[in-house]
Amino acid sequence: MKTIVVAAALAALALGAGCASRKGFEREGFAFGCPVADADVDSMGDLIAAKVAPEGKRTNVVVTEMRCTISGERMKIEANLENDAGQIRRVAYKFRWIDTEGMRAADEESWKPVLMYEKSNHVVTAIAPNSKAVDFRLVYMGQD
Amino acid sequence: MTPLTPLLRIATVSVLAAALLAGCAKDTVRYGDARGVETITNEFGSTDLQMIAEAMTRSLLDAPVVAANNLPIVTVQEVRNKTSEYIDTRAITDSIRAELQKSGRVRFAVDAADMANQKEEVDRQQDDEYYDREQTAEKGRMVGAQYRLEGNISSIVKQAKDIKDVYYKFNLQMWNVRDGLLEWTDEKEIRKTTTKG
Amino acid sequence: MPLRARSLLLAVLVASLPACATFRSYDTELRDTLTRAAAGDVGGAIATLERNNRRTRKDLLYYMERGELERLRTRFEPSTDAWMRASEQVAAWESAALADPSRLAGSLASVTLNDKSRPYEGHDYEKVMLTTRIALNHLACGDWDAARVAIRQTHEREAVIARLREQEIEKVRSEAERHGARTRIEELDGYPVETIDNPEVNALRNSYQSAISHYLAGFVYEALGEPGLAAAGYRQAIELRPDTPVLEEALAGLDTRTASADDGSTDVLFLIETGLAPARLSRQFSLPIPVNRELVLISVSFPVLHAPLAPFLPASLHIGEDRSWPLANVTSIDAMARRALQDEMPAIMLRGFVRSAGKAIAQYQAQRAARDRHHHGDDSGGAALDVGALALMLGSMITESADERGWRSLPANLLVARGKLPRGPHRVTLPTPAGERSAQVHVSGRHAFIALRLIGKRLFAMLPTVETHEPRDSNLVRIAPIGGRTD
Repeated sequence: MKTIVVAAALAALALGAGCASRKGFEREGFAFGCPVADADVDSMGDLIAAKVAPEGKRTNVVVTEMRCTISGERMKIEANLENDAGQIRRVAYKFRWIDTEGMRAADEESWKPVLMYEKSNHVVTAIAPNSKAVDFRLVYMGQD
Repeated sequence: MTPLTPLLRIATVSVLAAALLAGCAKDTVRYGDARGVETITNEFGSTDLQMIAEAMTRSLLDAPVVAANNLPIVTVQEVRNKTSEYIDTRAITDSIRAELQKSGRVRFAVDAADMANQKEEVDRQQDDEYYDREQTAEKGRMVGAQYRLEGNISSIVKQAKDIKDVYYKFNLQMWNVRDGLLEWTDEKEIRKTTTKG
Repeated sequence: MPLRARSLLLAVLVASLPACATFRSYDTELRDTLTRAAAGDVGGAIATLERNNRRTRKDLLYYMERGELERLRTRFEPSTDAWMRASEQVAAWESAALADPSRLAGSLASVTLNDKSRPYEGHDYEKVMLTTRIALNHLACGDWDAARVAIRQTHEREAVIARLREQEIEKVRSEAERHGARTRIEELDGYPVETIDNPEVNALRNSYQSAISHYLAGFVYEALGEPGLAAAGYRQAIELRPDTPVLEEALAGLDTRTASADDGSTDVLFLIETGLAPARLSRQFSLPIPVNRELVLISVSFPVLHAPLAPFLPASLHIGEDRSWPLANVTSIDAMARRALQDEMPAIMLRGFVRSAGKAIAQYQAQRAARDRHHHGDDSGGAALDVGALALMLGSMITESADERGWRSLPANLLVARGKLPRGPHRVTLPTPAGERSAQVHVSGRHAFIALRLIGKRLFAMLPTVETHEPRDSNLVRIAPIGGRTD
């Protein structure tokens, strides 16, 4: 496991900033399809740290992966939640949509409750409410 | 009277005590999150309404008819309530309509429920000589819908001694009025379980 | 103690009996009020009610009865006002009970004294009927939106009651176990069990939900163009009163009716209310209470139900010359009241048990002491203790009389008929045991609601402007008292 990480880090260093060919980083200003603007995002971990915001009650459910595409004119997001615990966990999540000016692109969404079984993954998907939404944050909280 | 007096005294004291206790209990009112997760009972609640409206809107905006950006004209028909719960299906369709309207991708024609009000207003403008003839709404100018939205909500309720389980299924469809083709349909499922104790 | 002294003591005890008049005999008060109302003298009935409630702070019962009497004389505004006041009191009870459910299963006052000294909180079916009847008043005035508000309050009230009662049943059961109390009505020797435990009563889902409340909700929602909510109302009504064609047709035809254009006729719902709600009367029964592993029988008062008028259920309603619509009995408040008592009996018996436990011990000791003295040949002392035991019993009769309170002017049965009528005036005729009674009604709009009430021989039409047609010789209808009462 460790060797893979090291190898990946080395590869990233070797390729440098202009590494258009690395998977997930083909397009400038995007990581795994998600807009990152000029943020320093070099890995899935960085992307998640930049896009996910825990709120309210903390939970040990974590976001492990995230990908974005553009469908029509609207952004489409998929995020994987993982419950590593040996117990059922309940979380609630929502997306916040941000426009080019960094302002809210739409009204606050409703919290969506999710039940996660022991040692399980759950993929949440979202489509932006409109084409003004060019960036987002995934917000979630524990519900137990 | 004598045998009653001590008893009456007890009664008076306890009634007074009860009154005092009631007086002491102070109600606290606070504003809450209108979009927070509500799990007070397992009847159809605000979170369910919001989740359904949001899921349906997002999905519908992704439908080819709407995504093609040719501003389809839609009318909202009834969402049939097939449960025995008092679910205000009009509130759900109102939310869906508001969200769709905000997206700017869909236009709405007057629905059956609002037709009477619409006719009344046109008649009023037509009949009232105080209005500018040039600008009054004329009869025969309304635009009919190209698509109609309709749906239903059903539930399965199971109840045992200490557990109540409710499963809701909300289904929404968009039909082409001219050719009767189903252009889009989606479903949202919700399961809620209450355990006592 | 010489014989004369003993009889003197008895005389004093008996003389102190009228002291129990400080506790109202609700049945006596209401019998007079209702007899007047049934004879058509609603004004006199209201005057009687006022005479019996002179205090400035009126209780829930007063407002319930006042509202009903005002409705009988078609003064809907004061009727609604009175019921709104009653509804405020019920709402206060709701929030207090939700905050502290322990209040429910018997407050301190009722354990030490008797049920009548508890503030009247209303039976569950009365609380639900209250908002339903407010809706009826609004409908009579043609205010459908206000009726919708009252109907929504009914749904909310039902939900609150459901939550509270669930908690209460559990609490009574655990309390009864703790005291070793007997809370099955079969344990009461001679209690008319079949009056509150019979197939009609047991067929009800609970004591407070009624098909009429939900059917009416369905009708109002339908009239207001909300078929989604109307469907739920009709469906609930069907679940509460299965196999009733008029209810099933309402749901089956809902989509067709909603989709069809105005054909110039009116969808009319007739509500026919007959009779009067049953009365609770106090009767004495022997409650077995265990003392020293022996069962001591203590005389305790418990409520029994009595219907003041013979039930009358007309089979059909005639409109004009050639229309005859079948009437379906969709709700029996009579049965709901019986079910309410059945449900309440465990708690009532538990309270009776707790109150009587002290008396049982005293009586047990007095009896044993008397027995011992008799053994030792000391007759005079034994007699004195007999008087003591008698005094205890009489004392228990004074403080023990069951709670007779209840909303008595409610109808016993609610029947409906529904169909289409051409707009305009119609004469509706109802066959009654005393001959036909008719009223002139006027229907307009797409939906109309008409309520008629039959009490004894008199027909009351609950419409803002209506003339009833009564034969001149309408005799007084007596609300019958029954014999063998204890107070």
